[in-house]
Amino acid sequence: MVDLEKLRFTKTHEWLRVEGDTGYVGITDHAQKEITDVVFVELPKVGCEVAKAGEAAVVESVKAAFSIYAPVSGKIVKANGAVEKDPSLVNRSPYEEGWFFAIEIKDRSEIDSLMTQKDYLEFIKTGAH
Amino acid sequence: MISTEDRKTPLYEAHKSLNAKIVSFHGWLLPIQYTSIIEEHNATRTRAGLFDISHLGKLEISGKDPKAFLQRLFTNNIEKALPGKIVYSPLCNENGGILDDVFIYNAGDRYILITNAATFEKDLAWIKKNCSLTPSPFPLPKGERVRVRGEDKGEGVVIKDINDAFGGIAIQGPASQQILSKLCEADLSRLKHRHFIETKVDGFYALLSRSGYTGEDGFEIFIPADASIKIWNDILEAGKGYGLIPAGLGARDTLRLEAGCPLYGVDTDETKTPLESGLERAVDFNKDFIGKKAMLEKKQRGLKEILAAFKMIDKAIPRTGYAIEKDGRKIGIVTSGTYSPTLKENIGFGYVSPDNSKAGDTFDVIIHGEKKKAVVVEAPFYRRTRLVRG
Repeated sequence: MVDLEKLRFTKTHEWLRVEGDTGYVGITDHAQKEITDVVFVELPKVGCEVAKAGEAAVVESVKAAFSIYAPVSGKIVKANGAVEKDPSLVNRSPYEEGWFFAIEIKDRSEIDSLMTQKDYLEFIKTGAH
Repeated sequence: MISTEDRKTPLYEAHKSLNAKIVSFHGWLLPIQYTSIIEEHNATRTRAGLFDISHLGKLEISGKDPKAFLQRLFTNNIEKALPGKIVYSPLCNENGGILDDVFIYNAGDRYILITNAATFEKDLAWIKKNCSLTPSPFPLPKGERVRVRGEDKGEGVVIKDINDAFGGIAIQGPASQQILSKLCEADLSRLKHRHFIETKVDGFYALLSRSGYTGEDGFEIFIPADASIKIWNDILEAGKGYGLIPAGLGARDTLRLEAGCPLYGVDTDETKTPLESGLERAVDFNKDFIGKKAMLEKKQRGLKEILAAFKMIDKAIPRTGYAIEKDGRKIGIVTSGTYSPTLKENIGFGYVSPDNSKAGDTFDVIIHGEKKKAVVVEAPFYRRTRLVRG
């Protein structure tokens, strides 16, 4: 099980799990519930550079398309092909099997600007999204 | 956005207690989904789904010669609506522009018109305006018969708004007949597609038709508004052993798209005639109707665009408003698109130039800034295996 307290969160409902210099990115359980039935995921190409808050992937439900933004800047080092093959992993396992991509973190100070789990839960409770 | 102006259907409290996700749809608060669009879609294809269709507009037309009046008004031949039968028809303005698409029920002594939700008030105004008599200048309470005066073409038409009096429920899917038969004394196996009866469901009056908007076998019932929740709950109860679940607007949209049904306001509107919208089969040029002249002229001049059904070849989902290109030149626009849960492919409707609208023609849809290949196919995308003749 992933320890949610170790994750960092964005206001656009991505999570970041830091492992050394690498950050894994996915969307929160709250986001997958709002999006519902994920039917398509478009991942970034390994090797491309993404900027913090820049669009890095697209996730689509039956009804609409949603952009996934990079929580931090850096180079894409991995893309999770499993969610392209079975997009419903995003709904079934948002924090584990349903991750999207991993970034080689350029500037660790960007991590500090993200929310903790406590902040994020407070953020979605106040409906400021 | 949900606004305080939005109206609740008679089934609103039932949706709330089922924890549905409620959205504002053309001024009505309706469930978009209860659990999952895909689950509700698949249940309707394989077992049965229960839909709130109370938002649809309902009008009653009676009088001395309502048929002659409807013939002038609608593009399709109302003669085809024999008593107990339903005819589908566009309603057009003088330019041939589609004001709405309507189901016309011939109930013998009167006709019942089922319109789209968003267009109801506009339709009513248009119908009154084109009545051979002009409406009474005296204010009448809502729902009361409209008294008319003016030039009499002998039609003597009486128009009645029955919108608030009735709720509507659709049960769709292969198990529909078995489930509904438990609550209805009529022999539903004898009711043919696009035919209706006035009967009792769950002990209440019901205008019951074998019809729907999903591509499945199924029934639509219009019932007294105040009995709607009881009937809804009793049908759900009766359907428990058959896998019936409530289904929202999300599933209704994916089901109708797979079934190749255009949605008014999305795939057709006032800027299009039935010729462009693939609805010419519902236009009878052998009779007179409003918009005929303009449509014939358009036919002669040739069409600039045609609604085409297409499938994505490249993996991407087309959505409303996306551009369609051929060799880098814009040739059209997507009006509807979705992931098809039944076909597990991405499908859509769009207006394209006629020379790119034949089955097998290919073009690009611009999706997230990239060209994605698509091919025109014959609608419907999905056709059920017919177990019931109709």
